[in-house]
Amino acid sequence: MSKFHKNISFQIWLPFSLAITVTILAVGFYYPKKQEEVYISQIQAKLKEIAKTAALGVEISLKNDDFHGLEQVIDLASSTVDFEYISIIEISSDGKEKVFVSNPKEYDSEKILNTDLANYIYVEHPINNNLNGIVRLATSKESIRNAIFKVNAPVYKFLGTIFLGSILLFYFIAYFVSRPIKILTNVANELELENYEVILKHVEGSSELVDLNNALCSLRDNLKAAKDRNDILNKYLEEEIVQRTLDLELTTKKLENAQSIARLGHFDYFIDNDCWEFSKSASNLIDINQNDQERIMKFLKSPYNAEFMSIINESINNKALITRDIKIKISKNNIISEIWLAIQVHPIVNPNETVIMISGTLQDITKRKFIEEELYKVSLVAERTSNLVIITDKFRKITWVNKSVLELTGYEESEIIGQTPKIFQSEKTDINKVWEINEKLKKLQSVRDELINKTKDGTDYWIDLSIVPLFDHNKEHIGYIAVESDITERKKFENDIKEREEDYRKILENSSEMIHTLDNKGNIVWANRSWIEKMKLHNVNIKGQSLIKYLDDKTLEEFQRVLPELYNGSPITDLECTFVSTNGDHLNLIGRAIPLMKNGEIIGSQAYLHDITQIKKAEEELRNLLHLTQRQNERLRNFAHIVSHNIRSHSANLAGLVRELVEVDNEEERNMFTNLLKAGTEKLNETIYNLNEIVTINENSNISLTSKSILSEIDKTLNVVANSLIKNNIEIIKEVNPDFEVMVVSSYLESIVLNLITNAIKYRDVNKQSFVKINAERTGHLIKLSVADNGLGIDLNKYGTKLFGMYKTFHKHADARGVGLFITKAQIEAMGGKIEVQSEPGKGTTFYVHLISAN
Amino acid sequence: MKYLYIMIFLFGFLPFTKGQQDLYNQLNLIGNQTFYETINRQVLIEIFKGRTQYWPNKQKVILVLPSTKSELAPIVAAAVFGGTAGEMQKYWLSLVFQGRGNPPVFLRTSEDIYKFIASNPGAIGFIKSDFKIEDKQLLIKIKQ
Repeated sequence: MSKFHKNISFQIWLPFSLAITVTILAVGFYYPKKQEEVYISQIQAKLKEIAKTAALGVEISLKNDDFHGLEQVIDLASSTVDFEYISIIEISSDGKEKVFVSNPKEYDSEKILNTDLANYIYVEHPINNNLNGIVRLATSKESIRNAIFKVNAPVYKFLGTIFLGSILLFYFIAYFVSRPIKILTNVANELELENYEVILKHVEGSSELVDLNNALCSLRDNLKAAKDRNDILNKYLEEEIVQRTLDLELTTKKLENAQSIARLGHFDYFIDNDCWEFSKSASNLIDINQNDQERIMKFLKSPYNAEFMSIINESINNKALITRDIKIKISKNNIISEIWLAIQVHPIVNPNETVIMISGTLQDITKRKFIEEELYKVSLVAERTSNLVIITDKFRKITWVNKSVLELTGYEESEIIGQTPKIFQSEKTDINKVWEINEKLKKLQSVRDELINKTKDGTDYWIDLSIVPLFDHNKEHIGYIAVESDITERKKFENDIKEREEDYRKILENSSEMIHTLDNKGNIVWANRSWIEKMKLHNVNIKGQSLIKYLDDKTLEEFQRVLPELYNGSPITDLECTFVSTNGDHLNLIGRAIPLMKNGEIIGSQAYLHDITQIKKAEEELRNLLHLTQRQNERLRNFAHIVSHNIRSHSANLAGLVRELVEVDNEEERNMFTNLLKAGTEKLNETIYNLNEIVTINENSNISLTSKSILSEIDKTLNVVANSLIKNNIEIIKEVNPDFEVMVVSSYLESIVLNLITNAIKYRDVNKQSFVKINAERTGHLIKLSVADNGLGIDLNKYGTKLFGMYKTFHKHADARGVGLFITKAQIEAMGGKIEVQSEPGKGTTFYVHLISAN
Repeated sequence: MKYLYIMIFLFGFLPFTKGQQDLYNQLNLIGNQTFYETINRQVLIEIFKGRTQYWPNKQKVILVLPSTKSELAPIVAAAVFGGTAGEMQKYWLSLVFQGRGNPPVFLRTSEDIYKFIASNPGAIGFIKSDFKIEDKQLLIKIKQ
């Protein structure tokens, strides 16, 4: 399609459009200019009239006191002209101008007196009256232009409409004028494109166009007839050509396919002009362009392919057919590779017996050669390997064996070929395995197993057997190949290991040590007999059970601490632990644990534990005995000290008194010494009594304890000291559960309670309201009895270590003898209890007595 | 010094007010249906300077002034406008020129003024005090 601007309709339309546009623009530009000039002159005339009328109005107003005329003039001016201002300017006697009044009122006086002539037009008229001045009236040019535009707006709209209308009108005129030409041109174009079926409308208008139309009609008809004849002929020829071409292509394709499949090609060598012709498949084989003589010559002259040319020369020289396999090098994509070619050349001889050309064929036999080489290598391996290789047909008749078979079995090849492998079976051969192998082979499955076979002379040997069914390229089963290796030595070694393993297992099984094996999750894999017996786990399958359930809490904590170390590969030595058997016995064990490794990874652990429960018990008893002995020794030392000190002081006193008594003459002195001797004897007696009591307590290590209500014992004692309590106004506070019973010697308990309460009474603070608070509470298997007072108290920092010693007093009390607490402590300890004290001087003392609870 | 200024102001103002009062004593204010029996002097000035154009009953104010050449003109000009008759005329000239006021009716004698006012509702004007007023209802008192 031609471009729009080249269309004839456009070319007709364009000049008219330009002329109209220029005319409209000229009118639109010059008309308002001219109109403005005329309008301004009219406005100026009108303004002058109004100024004159206004001046007259002013004169009349001032002369006749009639302002109505002036008012009408101003109204008239406002409605007639869009004035900028109207003003009365007074002119003084010295000629100076001053604005007397202006309308609008606020209009700038300065602007009135110096009117901008560029933007405004003004007129003025003098006032002939006692008011010497002028009336000045001004209007802006802008307002004049606006007024002109308002007047002209309809004209502009009209001109615009005229412009668009005429443009469109001319376009349609141009279109209709050029339409017949366009139709005829299109028809001519279609005929040129051999479209003779085009519909040709009859155009009307100028006679030239009608003639042209008729000529085109005639031409179209003639061309159409010629084309029809030509088409018939062409069609016949085309069909013929197509058929023959197809036949030829088919034949060529078949040949090429055959050559391509066979990787076969042919070539000709024209000796006279030293020219080579290679077929397409031949050139593909050796990777050259069949039309590129230069490349062909390069290939032939290459030192790698010299053998090719020597065959050609040999054929020329000998005038003989030559067939040979050669290896050549070809370069493909800059990669040099070797291929094998089967080449056959034969010379073409002219009647003069001169060879004029060589015709030959090439065939790529690289794959075949490769397979041949591979087969050669495989046969070498099969022949020379130390393994035994046996090949059978599908009926398992031996067709081939390698040398190793003959060497190991001692058979000759002729004795084996045609036999079945059953020939090698021994009496010791596992019949079940043989049956399984046969079943698999029947199903054409591969087999891998170990078997005992025998040699020709009957010697047994072990083989590791691998049998694979063989198939041809059509996947037809053709036989089996068996590859066997002699594993007799390995089998002997394995048997030795098994026997040793069994020995070690027995040792471990029957060891008196407790031995167990855990997996890496802490579950029991195996435990020996001793372990099972001591843990009382007969008839229980412990495999898979967690070891944790057989550990006491402390051992469990210890295990959790050391197990990561063990599973990091470090053995644990001197491992002390306690296992809890199923009947609740605690077994104290000592030993070591080692990690178990397999293929470099830790798969579990094994522990060797020695039962030291009895040793531990003996140790405990020994420790208790030692402790008891130490305490006993301490008491004995203490007691000996007391005895030696106290008895000696009394004996020294008595000896002195006796010496004095012997020497005195005076009866009065004798009586005095006798009395002193008597008192000393009583003191000695008292000391001996106290010592006797202590000895009695300490001697009775096997005292029998009975259950007593602690409350009833307290009540009895309070009855004994009731007088003393009342006399000293001491309050008793008692918080003792009546159900509490303790395992005691009744007389000891009475003595203990009496001693503690009398101490509280004795060492009360006379300046206070005294009280004794007795309390009992349960702490585990003990009853804790407390006796508290608010008495004088004891400075424990000073006397704490001596508090329960004999003859230790801490107050200057007349009754203080220092024996009571010593005996009390001895009695409590004799009953398996203990005594403690808390005290502060001035605040009071609390004794805590711990006794074994009976309930 | 401060007291001196106060004294000067007071004594200076007294003659002025006294002069004004004398002028008003020579005149009578009359109006027809103005709805004023007594009128404040300031309101009066607003009316005579054309700033009040309607009475409270929406009746248009028709102002009647003495002609410039009449003997009443200097008195009214001095009393109401504080100037001469010419200045009063110029005042009205500027007002009318700017289109801001309805021009007053100028009449030469008290009689003409009286008759005009009596026959035009909404009209107001001054007449000489010695002119005999038949319709006392037209008389409007001026408050000091």
